[in-house]
Amino acid sequence: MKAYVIRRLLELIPTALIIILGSFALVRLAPGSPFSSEKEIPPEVRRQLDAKYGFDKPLPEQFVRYLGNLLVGDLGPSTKYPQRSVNEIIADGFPVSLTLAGVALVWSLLVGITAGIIGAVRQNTVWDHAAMAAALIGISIPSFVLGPLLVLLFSLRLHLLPPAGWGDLRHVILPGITLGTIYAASIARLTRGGMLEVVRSDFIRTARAKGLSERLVIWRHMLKGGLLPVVSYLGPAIASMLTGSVVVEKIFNVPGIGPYFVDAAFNRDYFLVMGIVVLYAFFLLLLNLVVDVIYGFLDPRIEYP
Amino acid sequence: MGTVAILGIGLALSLAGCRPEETGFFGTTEPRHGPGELWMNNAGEPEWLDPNKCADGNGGEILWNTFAGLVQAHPATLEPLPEIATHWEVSADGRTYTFHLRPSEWSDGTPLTAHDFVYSFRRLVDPATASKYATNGHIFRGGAAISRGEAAPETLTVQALDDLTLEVTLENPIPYFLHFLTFYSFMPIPRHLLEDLATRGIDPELWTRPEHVVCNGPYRMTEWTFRQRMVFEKNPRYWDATNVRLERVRLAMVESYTTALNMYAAGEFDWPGSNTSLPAEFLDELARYGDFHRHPYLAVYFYWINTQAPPLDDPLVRQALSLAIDREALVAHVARGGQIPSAALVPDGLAGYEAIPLPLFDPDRARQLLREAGYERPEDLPPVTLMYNTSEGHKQVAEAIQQMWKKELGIRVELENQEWKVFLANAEQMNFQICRMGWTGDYADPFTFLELLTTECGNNHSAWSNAEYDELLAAANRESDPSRRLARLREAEALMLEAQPLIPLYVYTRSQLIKPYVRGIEGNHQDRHPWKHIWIDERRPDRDRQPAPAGRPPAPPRPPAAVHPSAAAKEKAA
Amino acid sequence: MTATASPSAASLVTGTSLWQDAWRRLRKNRLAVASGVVILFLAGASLVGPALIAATWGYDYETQDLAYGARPPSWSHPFGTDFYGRDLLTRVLYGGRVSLTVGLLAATVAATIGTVYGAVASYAGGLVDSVMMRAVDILYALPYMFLVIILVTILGKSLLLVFLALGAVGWLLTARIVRGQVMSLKEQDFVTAARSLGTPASDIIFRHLIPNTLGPVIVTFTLTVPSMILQEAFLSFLGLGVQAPRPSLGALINDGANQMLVFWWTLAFPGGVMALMLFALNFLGDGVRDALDPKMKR
Repeated sequence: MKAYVIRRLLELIPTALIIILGSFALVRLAPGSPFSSEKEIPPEVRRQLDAKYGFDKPLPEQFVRYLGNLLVGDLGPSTKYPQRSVNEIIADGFPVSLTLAGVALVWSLLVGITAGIIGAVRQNTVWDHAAMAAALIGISIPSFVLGPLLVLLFSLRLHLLPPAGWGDLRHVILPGITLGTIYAASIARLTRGGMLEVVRSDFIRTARAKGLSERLVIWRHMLKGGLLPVVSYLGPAIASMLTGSVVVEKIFNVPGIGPYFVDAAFNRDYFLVMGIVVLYAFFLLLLNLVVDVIYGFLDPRIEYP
Repeated sequence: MGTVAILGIGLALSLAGCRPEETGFFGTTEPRHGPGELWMNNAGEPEWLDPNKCADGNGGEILWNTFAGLVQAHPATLEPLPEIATHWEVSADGRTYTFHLRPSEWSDGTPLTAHDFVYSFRRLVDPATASKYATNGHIFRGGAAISRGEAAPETLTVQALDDLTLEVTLENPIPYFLHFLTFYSFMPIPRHLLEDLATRGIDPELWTRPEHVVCNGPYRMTEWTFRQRMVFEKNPRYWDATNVRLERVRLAMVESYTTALNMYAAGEFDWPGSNTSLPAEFLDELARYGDFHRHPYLAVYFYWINTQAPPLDDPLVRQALSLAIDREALVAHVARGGQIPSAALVPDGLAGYEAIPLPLFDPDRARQLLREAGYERPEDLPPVTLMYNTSEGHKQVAEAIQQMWKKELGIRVELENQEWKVFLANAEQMNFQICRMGWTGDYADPFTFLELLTTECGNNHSAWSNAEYDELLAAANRESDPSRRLARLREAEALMLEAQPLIPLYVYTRSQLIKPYVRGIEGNHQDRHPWKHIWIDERRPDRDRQPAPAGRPPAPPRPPAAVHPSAAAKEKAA
Repeated sequence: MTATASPSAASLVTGTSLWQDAWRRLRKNRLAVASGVVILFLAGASLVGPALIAATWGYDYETQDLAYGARPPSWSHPFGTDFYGRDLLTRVLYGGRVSLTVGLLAATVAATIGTVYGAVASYAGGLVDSVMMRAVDILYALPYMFLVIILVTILGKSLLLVFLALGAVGWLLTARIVRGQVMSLKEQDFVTAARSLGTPASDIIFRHLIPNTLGPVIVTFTLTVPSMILQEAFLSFLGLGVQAPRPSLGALINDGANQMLVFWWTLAFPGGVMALMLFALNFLGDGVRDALDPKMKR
């Protein structure tokens, strides 16, 4: 187990390198430049701008320099927000996205797993159908529809919560629920599916035959086994929740880092895109490692290779 | 089940919507703050807050209210009025201006002198500044050579005769110079601050951050929470501070227009501001409310035609395409903002210019032109691709025009949607057949539009080049008699439209929501609304007055005559 | 623990009757049958509907009537008209055709690739597993928008490219989920038994392991379909995918969401059809899953 974790941590290094190299290449090969605009810029000015950010150097040189800066924790300047460094931008936005992700995660796990358990335990009853119908509605309403609907209802009609913005606890509720619901719906379906798969497997039948109480069977065996797909799903899901949501953060004007995934790409804000990718990759790799370790706890038969 | 649920929600919400019959206004009409404040939206973070480097509307809104230039624009007519310069003289040839400055101070108490303007204008064209708007400085003699790196910034013909006298010499006797001078690129720069930062080892580029910034306008920034809000307080050292009414202005950074609309309805904004645009599909609905306002805007929507490759290298085909567009239907049913349909590039009445009269729609003539061009049957014409950048509004116009061309001429048109930077790259490399463009006039003069078609203009995406046209424009600029100048410009435009390297569609308008208690926002064709003229009306006539019946909004209230400078009655665009 | 406990054993002996069995079981599941009928109806309507309407009323998905723009549902336009006065019913049907094809095909491809990939990685274990799963991580982390922008730039636009762009990420989640399942399954007795009998690895993977992951795979599949349909709308936003004026369900829902406060029907009908499609797909998926499962008690 310990050896496994150490080996996986070592694997992170080449993986991260490939991600950084691949992203760097993709970002730079895309047509367009951070400085292109509707109005022509005098060529000499363009040269000065390129020189200022080092874009006039050959790409391999730029890459090596980027890696070097990355090692000392410098993510570079932003071309779209020239008054700020990428480090500052992420330090501003990341705690915001983290808060939102926390609320969304709690909401999605609470609602999703509960609904999933109800569905699986009471399979093919009214309860099951109701829970799964709710989950399906959750899946079929995209967040860009759900968000505005919640705003309309809770802010503009009932005047209970602010329509958008960031600052106090009341601002977190609507975006948190909007973001969490999509995941909750998927978690509910996966929990139910996973548990049903386990219900039919022999060890549950054995457990039941041994006369274990139904509750114990549910909690100890069905849930643990049934959560495997959920856990697999959660690795990337949490990584993308942590790094913010483009749509939800835009609808509720939450100053997190989610919108940069799209906007920084549109602006060809090279260093900002890379910074966001590096951050996301870091969480993704880490969380997938955690997920693989958790497999072992959920199903003791899994051996670490 | 889901269908019913979604349908139900949709119905319930749309029927429960706040109808104008209830209040006559969109959302709450109770201010959420005291009378000395204004809450508005800036839509996004500015790139630069440095007057020389700024090149976006998000920065412009702030610069116009935190800096004061030599002259200022009248809030309604945009006519140049004294600001830091109290008066000025113009030489007989119209090329040399001598400005006399009033004694004034920067917000840190340092005296503001003519040298600060000299520093700013040189810095604008200096390639080392890397300003995207360096071309604005080309109006000064020597400016173009400096920004090409061929001459030193000191050679710019701008000089301080003494601390309060500034002399500038222009490349051409342009009549719009004073108006252009109100643009934010020409604000003074606090040289003392930049040099002080450099000696303290701080990057001088960061001088506009709130912990450092020094300005000379009506407001100064006191808080900047990145991507959330900026707070501005009245600058007591502004020369005309006694006439500034609002104590604080709070700017939010809300990008999504629907979110901005929601926040306006909830009273979090008193005015979404000029950087928030309302989407076409909402306009008919919003126009029924009393807080809806509309005014013309100096910008033209048009399609570039790549004149290099067949079949569009034939002017007859290009003219046919232009004549087959039903511009009135386009404006009435698609753009929906009361825009002014136009087949000419320069809007009618711009600085005394009389627009070239061209038919807005003539499908018969269009079909005839196509036949003359040798395309007897529409099938003979190969399919044409129309490129636009990702945006709901551009898509709407493109889809409508595609159908018009198909219906009237039988031409097959492929639409090609492209992400903005890809679009720009393709436009620059002439890698398209027809592409959309919107051009905002920098100053109220036909030249701001006509310049686009000159051979050397980097923004000319038609590949159309005509020596006679170039010469007519150059001659117009040398001309010091205004009416002869306009005549030459008009001659040039007629020549250009005959060749049809672009297809003008309409002149923009701006549609805005302004809470009934906000006063002093004038409609003007550059959509510039200085905060110093704005005030909150506590008398609240909107509560006493009966709301107007739905369908026709009540006339906007007249601002009291005491506002400085003398306020003109607001003209609403038809 | 007997070999019959494994579905594979049954399928080995009676290959064809498994499907006959499954079909019989599926037909008994009323919800699943109803869902199948709904899907067939939607597919049929989207296939012949636009042509039928064109023949009867003379307009297609792109015929505009600007003066009749954005009208609520009426007898002549049951779903109302859009901004340009185009019939929304025709557009929903046409868009449904595009989205059903794209969604189902892309999700099927994604599920197939993901399942095989995840099962192979997990069963092989060790270095192979490491390399294969790190590759998944890398694909997950690469900036997707740039991937799409470059694909469009280099290869131009085509429907094949849409599948490529959708497929590039669609299968990743399935791969991870299946790998997790197989890690647990491969230590179970029937696999150990099969291995000790000398069954070749490919047989174990395809006959023993994959059939036992079908539950989560079908669930993931039903989750992937809507995300593919909405993803397609995002791709056309980037210039890939279906170009205007051709509609897709995802693009219609996107437009509808922008206009829902003023023209509710532009969201309600495309959204409703999408929801109906997902419900049907989901219940059918559950039915198929149950029918294929020989452990199901009759």
